[in-house]
Amino acid sequence: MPCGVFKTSYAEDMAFIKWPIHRIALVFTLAFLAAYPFVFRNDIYMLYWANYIAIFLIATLGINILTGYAGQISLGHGAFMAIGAYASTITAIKLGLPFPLTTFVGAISSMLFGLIFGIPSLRLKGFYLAIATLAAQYLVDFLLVNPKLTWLTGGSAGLVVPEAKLFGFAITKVANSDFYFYFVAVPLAVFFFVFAANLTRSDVGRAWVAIRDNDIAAEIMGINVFKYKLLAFAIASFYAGVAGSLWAYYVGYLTPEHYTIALSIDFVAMILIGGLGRHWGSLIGTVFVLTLPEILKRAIIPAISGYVPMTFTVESLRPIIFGAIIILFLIAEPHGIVELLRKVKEYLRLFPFPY
Amino acid sequence: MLLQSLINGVTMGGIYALIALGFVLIYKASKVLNFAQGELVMVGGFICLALSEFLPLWASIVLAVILSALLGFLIEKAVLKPLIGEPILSVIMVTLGLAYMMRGLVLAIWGPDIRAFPQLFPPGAFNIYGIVIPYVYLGGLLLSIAAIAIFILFFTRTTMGVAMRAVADDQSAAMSLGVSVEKVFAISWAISAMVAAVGGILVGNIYGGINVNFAFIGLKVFAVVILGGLDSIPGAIVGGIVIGVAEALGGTYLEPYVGGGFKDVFPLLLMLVIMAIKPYGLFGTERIERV
Repeated sequence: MPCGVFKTSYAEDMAFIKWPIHRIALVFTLAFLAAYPFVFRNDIYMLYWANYIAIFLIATLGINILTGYAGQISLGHGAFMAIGAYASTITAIKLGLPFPLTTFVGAISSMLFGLIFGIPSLRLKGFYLAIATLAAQYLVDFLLVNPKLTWLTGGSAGLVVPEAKLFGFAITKVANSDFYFYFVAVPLAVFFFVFAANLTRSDVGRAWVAIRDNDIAAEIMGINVFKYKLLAFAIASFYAGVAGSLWAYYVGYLTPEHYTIALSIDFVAMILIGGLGRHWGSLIGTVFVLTLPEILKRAIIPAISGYVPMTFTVESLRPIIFGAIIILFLIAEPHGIVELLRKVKEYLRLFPFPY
Repeated sequence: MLLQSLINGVTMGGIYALIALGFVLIYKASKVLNFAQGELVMVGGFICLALSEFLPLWASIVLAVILSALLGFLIEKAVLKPLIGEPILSVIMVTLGLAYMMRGLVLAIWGPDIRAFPQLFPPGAFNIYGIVIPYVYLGGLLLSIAAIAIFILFFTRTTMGVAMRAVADDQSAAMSLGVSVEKVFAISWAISAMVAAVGGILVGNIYGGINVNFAFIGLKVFAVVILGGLDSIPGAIVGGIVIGVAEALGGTYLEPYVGGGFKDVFPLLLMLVIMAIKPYGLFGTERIERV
């Protein structure tokens, strides 16, 4: 009688649920996600935090597909998100389209924009691509605050986003909107997470990994490099567009300040700290990067102010700590927190014995 | 009007060329693409500003340049050295992390407000046939030319400079001939931070005041090195002038039609066009990839 779990087919080896503990974890996770809004029903802050993470997780999953799996560096993910947010808000204001449709329009516009910046990726690699996407970020910033386009984008003052209605039922800009929005944001985040995980374990995902590791070798193996690079850009910017649209509706107003280069670098920090090319890394990185400023504001800044001759605010301490963490992770553990956890797990699994 | 913008453009271009030389130097020596070059410029400017509060200006400039060199040296030893041989994404991200840290530190120490920069040159301007050239511009141009000349002399005349060129040419051959590659990497960072500080002081003089957004100048440096080629010193000089002039002309002639801030975006647009036509720049070496 075999002791342990032995897989006898490829399908079993690639399954999401490989061990009984995965099944238990899945049930607990779903129960936790379902119970969360009811437990914190009256705690707007905790609901806001969950929605915030769910929305940004969608965008982070996108950039992790692009950078972590397909190996294409993007410093313009904030701009992709901005395109999604603005496209959906503008169609909602000017055309009066309903919330699900405008979100879709936002995602598609963002995808088209991403495709435009994906086309040069065939020739541009590494640093050049990073710079090109950085330029895209600044171009979008410039267009959004441009006084000549104020009639469309609202300029630096921004736009007020109409309320989101689902089946005739308003879910934003009403009392308890955080509670209602949870049932849009979190299921969508779960859906996109599972979709991304499925995509990357299929032939598409393997093609991306091959391109990431060596695109010339991948091309010789018969992979259509251009097609898969474009696909990665399209999916990443689609994800960003969905997140941008949701975030615009959730916050209720839209200003260009939300989507600057700082946001793009935050996304890179999320996938680097969490783990490049791991979907759990996207989740852990998003939670870490979005929660850290709150911890700084509530605990660390009050604790250290007065002891150092500097004036620390969230704006100054956040970049210092992020910078330091990015550098530390890259030097000590380039695969992020997920890899760190895996090492801990491996160590504990064999605990009393070294091998 | 045209001549005026040309002169402003050439002056700024000279300074961009100087800062871009630092970028090219690091890339040539160690193949690291430094996203923190703009932040090094900013930090150099702020060190000079802080020192000038209790030192005479000339002393604070000299000290700021020396301290910047030390900073560059320490950055290489602490951060870049452990990452030798890592993939390009890691190296790019680590310099972004550095940029982030420097930005935060400057914000924490000096705050977000614009600080007046001590003036190195007397106020006033030349007036030649109606073209006004402020002394600051003239001084900035002359000093940046002098700095570039010193830079080039260092590379052609000194042992260290020749050793650095050898490393840029062929790392393992240089190593086998007894050149310490580690030392060359560290020194290239030190020199790069030094020229960044000189650039920061000159731009600080021209702008009249600096704040944390000063690091924006790094973007123009990217445009310069993409135009000239990542590993070409003449390319950096030509690219610097072209980008400086393009920026000034774009600011004068195109900004009224397309809206404010176009001056800063125009070099980036130009850069995207160059990337599409000539990805390795005007003077860059074309890289042949092998599996």
